[in-house]
Parts: sequence; structure tokens; C-alpha cells
Amino acid sequence: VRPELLQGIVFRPVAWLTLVICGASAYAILTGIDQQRERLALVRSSFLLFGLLMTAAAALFPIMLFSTADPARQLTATDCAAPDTSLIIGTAWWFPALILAFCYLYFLQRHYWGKVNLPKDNQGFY
Amino acid sequence: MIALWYGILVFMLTTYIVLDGRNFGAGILHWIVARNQAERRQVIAAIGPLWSWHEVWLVGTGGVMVMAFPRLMAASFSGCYLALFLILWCVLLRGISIEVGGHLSDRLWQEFWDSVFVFSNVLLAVLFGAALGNVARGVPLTAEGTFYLPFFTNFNIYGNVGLLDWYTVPMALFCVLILTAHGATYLTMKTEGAVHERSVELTRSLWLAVIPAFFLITLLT
Repeated sequence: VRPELLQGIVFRPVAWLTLVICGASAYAILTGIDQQRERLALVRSSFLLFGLLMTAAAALFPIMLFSTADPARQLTATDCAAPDTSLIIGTAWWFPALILAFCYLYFLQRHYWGKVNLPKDNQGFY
Repeated sequence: MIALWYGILVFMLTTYIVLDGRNFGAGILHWIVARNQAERRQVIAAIGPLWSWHEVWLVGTGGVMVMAFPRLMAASFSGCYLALFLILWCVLLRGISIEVGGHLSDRLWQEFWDSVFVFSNVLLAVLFGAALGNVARGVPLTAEGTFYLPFFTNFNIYGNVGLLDWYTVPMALFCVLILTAHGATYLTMKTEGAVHERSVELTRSLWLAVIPAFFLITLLT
């Protein structure tokens, strides 16, 4: 279907790194479950998904949409991108926003970490 | 700068799939790991406090696409209108089923909303998998950079293709499988008792099933 994806992996060092993450995570999930280290198994499962999607994205770059009608019509990142000024302004607010988002994610994960507590975690649904 | 924003877009989408993917998986396994209402409440409580927060990453991905890649946004959102509305309906139904399922202490009412919950999670995983397959396979872009995708045409991967074909269907099934395994792993961490025991058994067999499925998808690609 898309052999150039595999060629993209071969020629992009970022894709090698994400592939290594995938392989290590896949092995570690099974050993984590066997050793009853469930939190670690979940972290590794997340890394596996992260690695697979990142590998695919690294292999695809710079093409964002292939065309099945005519290969010349494919959309690349350069074709689709907003002007540089917009991207620079966007970068200025995106990084602080990401830090805030991760702080909140960390707070939520800490707050609800561990086994479920039915009276506390049902949010009044039951 | 363009490469940086490509990375940011992929990072946002990947974070959403990783975080909400475990909720999809838990939802898909809802009937399998939980056999009575008390056990089902445990599964709902495992994803309950966090599912709506994780959807914010999907909204953020849309925002990044509007800001950094407006042409891609315009082409893909109009081209995949049907699939996007299905995703939207599934996200809505999932939220509604979690919220209203426990409002009445009636078995028929709760069974109905449990069914809606499972069905919407399965369909969400299928649609995201099919979307990934469509990105890898390509879409019938016109000279103006627009396209329209029906559900299916002739199941071929060239020319006037649809959302589903012989490549995107296995990709969607692979997505269901890997997200179910991810969800089972999450349930082993969050649950106790019989639900936990069933989740542990399923996690091992699901991850073992992912390995040949991954090689099959790679071969097809």
C-alpha cells in the first residue's frame, strides 16, 4: 500500500529511536504483567502506543496527505502550513500552555492514582 | 518551524490517543471484565474522573491544526465529514451513557446505557484506526486540494477510494486490538477482585495477539 513509509523509517534517525522505544516497551509490558508491576506495565503500554504513532509520523514527514488519484497532488507540510509569522506567535503561547496542561495532568493523575475508590470516584453518576 | 509544528501536531494527537485510548479499551472490555452492576461501576469509576479531561487533547489537536496547518484542516474536515460526525456522536454518546446510566435504578435502563457505552467505544476505536489507515493509504485529492470520502466504494486502495477498504479495515481492527490491550493494562492497575483477575488474564493474551497483528499490518503497509 505505502512502501515509502518503511523507507522513511530507514532514512530517519528519529524513527529508529521511536522503534527502539516500541520494541523495549513491548517486551517490558509482558514482563511487567508477569511480575505484577501493573503501573509500570501501563507506562510501558503508553510508551508503545506513543512510539508506534511517532514512528509512523516520522516516516510520513513531510507528506501530510497522500493522493490516491494522482501522486503529484499530495499535500506536504509546507503546502498546508500557515505563514511563518503565525507559527512564531503560536510557538510563544504553545509552550507555556503545554507546561500548564502537563501540570494539571500530573495533578489529576496524582489525585486519582491507585485502585478505584467507588464512593469517591463515581462523580455522583451512581 | 514547519517541522516543529508538525511535531507538535503529532505530539498532541498521540497524547490524546495514549490517554483516551485506555478509556476506549476499558469501554470495549466493559462487558467482558465486568459481569454485574457492581463490577461495571468499578470499570466506570476507573475512567470516570478523567475521560472528559483527556478529550481536551483532541480539541487541542484541532486548535493546532487550525493555527498551523489551516489547509490540511480545511481539506480533511470537509473530506471526512461523515466520519467526523460519527466520531462526534460516539464521543457524545459515551459521555451521556456514563452520566445518565446510573440515574435510574432500573436494570433495563442500565443495560441499555451500558450497551451504548460499549458500542460507542468500539466505534471510536474503529474510526480512529480507519482514519490512521486513510492517512497512510491516501485520499482522492483533486487538483484544488479537496476530497470527499464515502464510507466505501469498491474496497480498492487506488483511485476513487472510500473510508473503508481492504487495507483500512485491518488497520481499524488492529487499532481496536491494541487499544483494548492498552485498556486492559489500565484496568489491571485500577481495579480489584474479579475484575482485576479477568483484566490480568486478558492483558497477557491481548498483548500476545498484538504482536502477529502488528507484523501483518506492517506487511500490508
